[in-house]
Amino acid sequence: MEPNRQNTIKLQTIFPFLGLIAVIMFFQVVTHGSVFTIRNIKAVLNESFFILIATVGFSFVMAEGNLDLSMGTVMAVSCVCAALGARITPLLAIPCAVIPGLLLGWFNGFVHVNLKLGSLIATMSTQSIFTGILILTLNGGTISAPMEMLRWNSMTLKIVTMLLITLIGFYVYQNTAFGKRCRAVGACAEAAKQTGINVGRIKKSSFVILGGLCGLLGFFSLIRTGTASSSTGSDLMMNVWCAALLGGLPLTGGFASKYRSVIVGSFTMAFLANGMTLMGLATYDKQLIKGVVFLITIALSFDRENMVVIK
Amino acid sequence: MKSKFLVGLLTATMVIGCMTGCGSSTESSTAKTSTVAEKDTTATTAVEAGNESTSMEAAADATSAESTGSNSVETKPYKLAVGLPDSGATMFSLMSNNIKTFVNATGGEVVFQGGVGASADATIQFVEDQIAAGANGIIISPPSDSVIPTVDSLCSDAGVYWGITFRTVKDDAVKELLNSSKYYIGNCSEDEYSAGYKVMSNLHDKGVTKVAIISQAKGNTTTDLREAGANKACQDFGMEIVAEARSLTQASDATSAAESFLTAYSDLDAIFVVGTTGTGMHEAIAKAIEDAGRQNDVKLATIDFPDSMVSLFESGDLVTCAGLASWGYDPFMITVTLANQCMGCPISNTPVSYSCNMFDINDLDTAKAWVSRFGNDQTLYYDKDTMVKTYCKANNSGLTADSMQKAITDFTENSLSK
Repeated sequence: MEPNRQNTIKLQTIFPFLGLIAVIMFFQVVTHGSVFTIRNIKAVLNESFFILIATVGFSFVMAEGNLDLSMGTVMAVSCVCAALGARITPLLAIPCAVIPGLLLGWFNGFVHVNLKLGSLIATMSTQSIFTGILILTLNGGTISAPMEMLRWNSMTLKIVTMLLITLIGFYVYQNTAFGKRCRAVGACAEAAKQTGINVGRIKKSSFVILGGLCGLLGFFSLIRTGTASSSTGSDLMMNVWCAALLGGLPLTGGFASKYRSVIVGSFTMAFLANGMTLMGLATYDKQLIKGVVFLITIALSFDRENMVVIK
Repeated sequence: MKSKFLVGLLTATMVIGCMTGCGSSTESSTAKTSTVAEKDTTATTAVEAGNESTSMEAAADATSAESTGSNSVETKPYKLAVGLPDSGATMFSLMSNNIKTFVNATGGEVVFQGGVGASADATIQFVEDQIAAGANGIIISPPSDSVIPTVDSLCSDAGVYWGITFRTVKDDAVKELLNSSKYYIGNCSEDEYSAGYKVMSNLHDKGVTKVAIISQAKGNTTTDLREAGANKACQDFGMEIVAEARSLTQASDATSAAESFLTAYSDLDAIFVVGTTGTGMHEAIAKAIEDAGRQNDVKLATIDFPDSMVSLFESGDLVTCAGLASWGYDPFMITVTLANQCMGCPISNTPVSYSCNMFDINDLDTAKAWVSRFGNDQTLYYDKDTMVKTYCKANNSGLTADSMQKAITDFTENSLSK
């Protein structure tokens, strides 16, 4: 039985890569080579920018076996704060986006750790609270950014930011004590606690990282759309969850969580969405195909043996 | 072994990618399409503005006569992307059928996508995706003015023409930006303010004083103007908007909102659907009113004629509504303008701004007359021959922004006269 198990694990490891390659090859062929054009690569990078950065933050939370339902709302609140800050001076938009993100991330961690609520329930509650704050602040409307800020929305800035965040994330995840402790908590929180790891602090820190990155995305959303509204970031959570799971991040967390999943999953999602647009598929067709691909990928790659319960 | 396998796969991907890329056809960038005004042989109903030949059609005939005896015209092939759904309700199908008929008859292709106007993120994503997919022209219905500068920047950088449907631009800085844009072709919108005022005025005539509204998020220029008109009517007639619900997208949300209104306000007289992107909302509200046993004292009013308009008038739930001659006529006319621009025959060298008049329906007979004309999604606003001869600048040199506006006005005025 042991050799079979090893083969299964190998397939689960390699499947996300195969998925990415299959998606790229399929769309490259059916669109007659339209995938690798400069214009389209720009579109893919734009598509993957928000997913990749949020998934970097989410990988720390998932490594602990936790989930976050509130990331889109955190991004929206940060976007609104950035728009309000930009009214004073545009440069104030960056801290006004990131700091609320960090604070909301900390609040998520606080509710999860100190109130001892499962991360799913905790972030479901906080999402509702943040949405309420958002609607009250916006009074049912939108806030626009100063027009000069829209010039900041350059591909160069996005690529540099994406590379920086991905590399820093990789370093922290793979090479620092914090990254290893996140995975240790996911593998067995009790064992991690017995070895002297402050489990609560590690969990809060990962929520703070995710919150901060969502805050940063709030800023980028503002300079991209020029608008802060209650619908900002509404697709983020689903896209990030799909990217993480398509990339092979296990829901159970632990040492099976590999950083490469973040990159593979994010680009798979981006190429999938982009390829369907190139094919001219309608919205409903896209949703259907996304759902089917997601289901097949998860069914094939899901690590059922280590799955005890979704925390 | 795993690494070698991956390297092999990646190499294969690159090779296949390069081969398919190099082997792709480049015909589309150089080919010319011959646009022939065919006699309409489809079994569709054509609704034309006016009983007599319009001046624009006469000009089109004159242009055809000047040509070599054939009305075959060479135009550039083009691809349009319209940020509206092409299915779900009759008005969507009707709109998309007319646009497809015109675009296909003039050598173009068109794709539709719903949900684009729901958020700024979705709007920008749509524009980026469609530029990458090779669209020559894009039509959107922006959720707010603040998203427009980015759209214009993206389209200008990519050399893609674009236009706005259903929306007016209120922000002066954005207006200035658009006036200087090389790629913005204009907008087509309705007199939203008057529609909001008219519906409230009609409600006042029926003895309504307290109204709850269902609308879009503030910042949506369409519903903002409708609400401004409604508020003015409130001032003029001593009415009051006592409650509101916004950004509802599902019929179940409409039910919940209506139930809340009915529970909280025992003296409520009407629920006014100022604007919604959802389908089945009116039926859901009517059902909530009936379930609450308030059918006799709470009325329903709306802007944009719903699919269920006749049955709602029959049941007595709906008492007044305002809308366009046909909901899809507005995007159709901006599509005509954009398509001509993409074909290399611009209707105007400056951005156009068309205005469609709304009219109100207050009784079952008028509702039935409207539905008999526009309740069929196969109805064509003009037959295919007229579309190509009259609304293709290459075939009709008399096609201008003014003549387009006149056609829009005529279409509205004559929409129920036949």
